[in-house]
Amino acid sequence: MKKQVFLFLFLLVFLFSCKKQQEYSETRFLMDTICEIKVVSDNEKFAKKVLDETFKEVERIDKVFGYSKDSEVEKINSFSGVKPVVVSSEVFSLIKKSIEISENTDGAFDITVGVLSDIWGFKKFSQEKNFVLPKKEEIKKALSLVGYKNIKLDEKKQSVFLTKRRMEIDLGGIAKGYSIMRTKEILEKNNFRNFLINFGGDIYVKGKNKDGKPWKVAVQHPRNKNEFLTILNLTDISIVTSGDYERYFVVDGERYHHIFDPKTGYPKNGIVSVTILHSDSTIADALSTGIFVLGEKKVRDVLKKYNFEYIIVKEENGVLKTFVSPGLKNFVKSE
Amino acid sequence: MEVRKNFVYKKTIFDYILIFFLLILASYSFQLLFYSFKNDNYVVEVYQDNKIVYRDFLSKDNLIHLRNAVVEVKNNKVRMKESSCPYKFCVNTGWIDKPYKQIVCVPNKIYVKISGKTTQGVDGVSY
Repeated sequence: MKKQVFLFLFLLVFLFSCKKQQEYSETRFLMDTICEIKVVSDNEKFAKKVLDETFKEVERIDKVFGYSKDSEVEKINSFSGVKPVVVSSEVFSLIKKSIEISENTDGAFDITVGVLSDIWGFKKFSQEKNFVLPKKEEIKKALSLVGYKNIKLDEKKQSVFLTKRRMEIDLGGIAKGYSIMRTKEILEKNNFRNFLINFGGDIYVKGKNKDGKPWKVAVQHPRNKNEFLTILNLTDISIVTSGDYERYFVVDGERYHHIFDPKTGYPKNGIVSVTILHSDSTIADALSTGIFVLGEKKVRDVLKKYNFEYIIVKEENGVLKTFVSPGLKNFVKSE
Repeated sequence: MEVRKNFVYKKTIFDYILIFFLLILASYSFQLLFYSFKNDNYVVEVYQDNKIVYRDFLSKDNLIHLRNAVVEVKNNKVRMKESSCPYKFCVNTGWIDKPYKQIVCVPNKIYVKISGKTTQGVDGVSY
């Protein structure tokens, strides 16, 4: 009788003695935004060690692609129209990928809008005191320097050449997505199977949350900070949103935001928010900008090149209209 | 009725193993209880220069004086009350009271977040 009792208790304790999976997170201020990583683990010490290692990598990427004088991107810009600049394979690959996405979005995504960011005051957005509208002549002059076809890549020498003097590339529309993918690689290399990476609202989720369910990710309502457009159940996918409500200024009641139409030199009007779901954050990041510029009518052209889901919100006469891809309903949280 | 007299109980190895497993079970139950209490309340965390400078329950009213900014916790909400930054996006964010909302001041390298179990169970917000 004692042996049966013992066996029963042994089984009971065995079932419950496994260490409880906890969620460990760390948040840091990098790339001019809040970067958060959540991992599900039963080992707190190991989780924190890996989170620290991961953030060191994000810091490194921030320095490589950022606006500081030491960054490779600023070096390319400073020699525009002068000579090609030999860069690391990492920078070369990302610029090459950016050009490929430019070709697939008919130029709607274009990293050479750096000069537009500059004249509109978005390059050092956080330090700007007074936003002043650039003059038409300034915009026209800057537009002559915009165009991804003026980036010359030499695969053999691994060099980048901006053919026109004072051309500027800005990798802000793709670097965050890239840093998320690098973070994902490090976490996977350390055998984490369940995590959420959130860099300034660009998110990648893997596996399940600590309750064993798909990660619940809400999409911000573009006009009401206290509301969500929708809540999605996600796993093993990236979700990136570009909106006109995060970086903007208002002059005479008119909103001017940071997503430019490379063809006009002005912030793209009409679309207020684009959300893209794709397995690769680098592509999702770039596409969210590209589709924002293209709009809902041309999104199908891009769907032929990339497999993604989308939510597009457009504003017409003060009324918001939402366009979603057919496959998105598979991710919507059931009430 | 037979009465057993002079009954001597001898402990066996199974008794010790049984006690050991019962102790593990008790310890697990305690942890479960501890974590369920721990996650009940929202906690405000304020960071400057990537270092945590304040951490306390959202239910505790407070004024936190930072370098070039003041954070206010009141009535289960938190906001950036004052900031030296030029465009005051952080101040204009207003009060926040949910774990998925944040206040960021880029020039002063400050961010304010709320930790705790979310309503609607949202793990993150794409914006």
